[in-house]
Amino acid sequence: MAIEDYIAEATTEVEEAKPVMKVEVDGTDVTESELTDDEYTQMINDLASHKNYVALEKYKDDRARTYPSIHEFMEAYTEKEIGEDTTKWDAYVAKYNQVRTDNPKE
Amino acid sequence: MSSELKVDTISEKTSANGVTIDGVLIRDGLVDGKDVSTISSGLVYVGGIDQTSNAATISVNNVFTSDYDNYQILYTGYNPNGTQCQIEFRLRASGTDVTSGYVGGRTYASLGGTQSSFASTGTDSFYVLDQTTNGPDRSATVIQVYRPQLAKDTNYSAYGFSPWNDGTKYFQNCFGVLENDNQYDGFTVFADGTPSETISAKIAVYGYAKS
Repeated sequence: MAIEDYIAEATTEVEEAKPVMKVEVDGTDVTESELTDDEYTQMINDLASHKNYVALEKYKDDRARTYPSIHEFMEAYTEKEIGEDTTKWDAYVAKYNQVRTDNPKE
Repeated sequence: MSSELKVDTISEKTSANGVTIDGVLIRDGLVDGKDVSTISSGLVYVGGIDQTSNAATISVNNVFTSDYDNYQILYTGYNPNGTQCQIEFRLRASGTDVTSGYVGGRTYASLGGTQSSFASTGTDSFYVLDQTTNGPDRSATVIQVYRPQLAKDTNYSAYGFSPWNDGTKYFQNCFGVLENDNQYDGFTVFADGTPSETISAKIAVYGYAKS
C-alpha cells in the first residue's frame, strides 16, 4: 500500500472515532474539548505514518528485539566451526527461524 | 529545662555587626553573607495534571517560562486503551504543537535479555515510553527538557521502564533534539496509534533552579 492508502484508511478511522477529545491543563485549569480541524488533520497524518511503519518497518524492530543474542551466536558458531559440535548451532538456528516466523514481513 | 524567647524584633547592638545566632551571622538582609530571599534550590514544581481517564492527547500548557532553564517531567502511566501504545512527545507554543524537525533515537533492552537494541525515532515527535493494557500502572519515565524557552534547538532525554504486551519488561533511554530556533511553553503527549489508542497518566513538571 502507498502512503495515500494509509491516509485514506486513517481518515476513515478518525471520522468513525469522532468526536475525539483532548485534555489540556494550564495552571489548575483542566479543559476537555474536541480536536480542532487542524488537529484532526494532524491526527490523520500521524495515524497514516503509524500504519506505514507497522506495515513496512515494525517487523524489523520486533525481530531485532527478540533475536537470540550475539553471544549465543558466537558460542554456537564457534563450537560448530572449531569443536565440530552443532548442538548449540542447531538450537540457535531454531530460535532464529522462530523469531522470523513470529514476526513475518507483511 | 529549655527556655523560650518571644520577641518581635532582634536588632544589632553594635552598628554594622549584625546578629549572630549559634554561629550564624544575620546582617543587612544576608545570612552568612548570602541573600536567601530569592533562593529556590533544587526542583520546583511548576505544573502538571493527574489525568485518570483516557484521552487522545494530553497537553500541559505554560509550564516552561523564563524562571527556569531546564525542566524535569515525571510521567507515570495509568491504564491505556491499547496493547502497544508507544508514547510520543511534542513541544508546543501558545497551544499549538510543533510537528516537524524532531531528531532522535532510543536504546532499549528487556529484563533477562542479553542484548540491547537501537532505533532512530521519527521526525514528527520525540519518543518517550511504552504503555500497554498488559501492564497498567507499571509504566513510568523521566523526561528532561533542556532550555525550551531559549530560541535555539531544544534537546530532550528520557529514561524509563515499562512492560510490553508480550509480557516482557523493558528499560529504555531516549534522546534527541528539536531542530529549530523557536521557544516553547508546553508539550503534548499521545499514543502513536491514536485515536484508537488513548492514554491516561499523572504528569508532574519541575523546573531546575538556576543556581
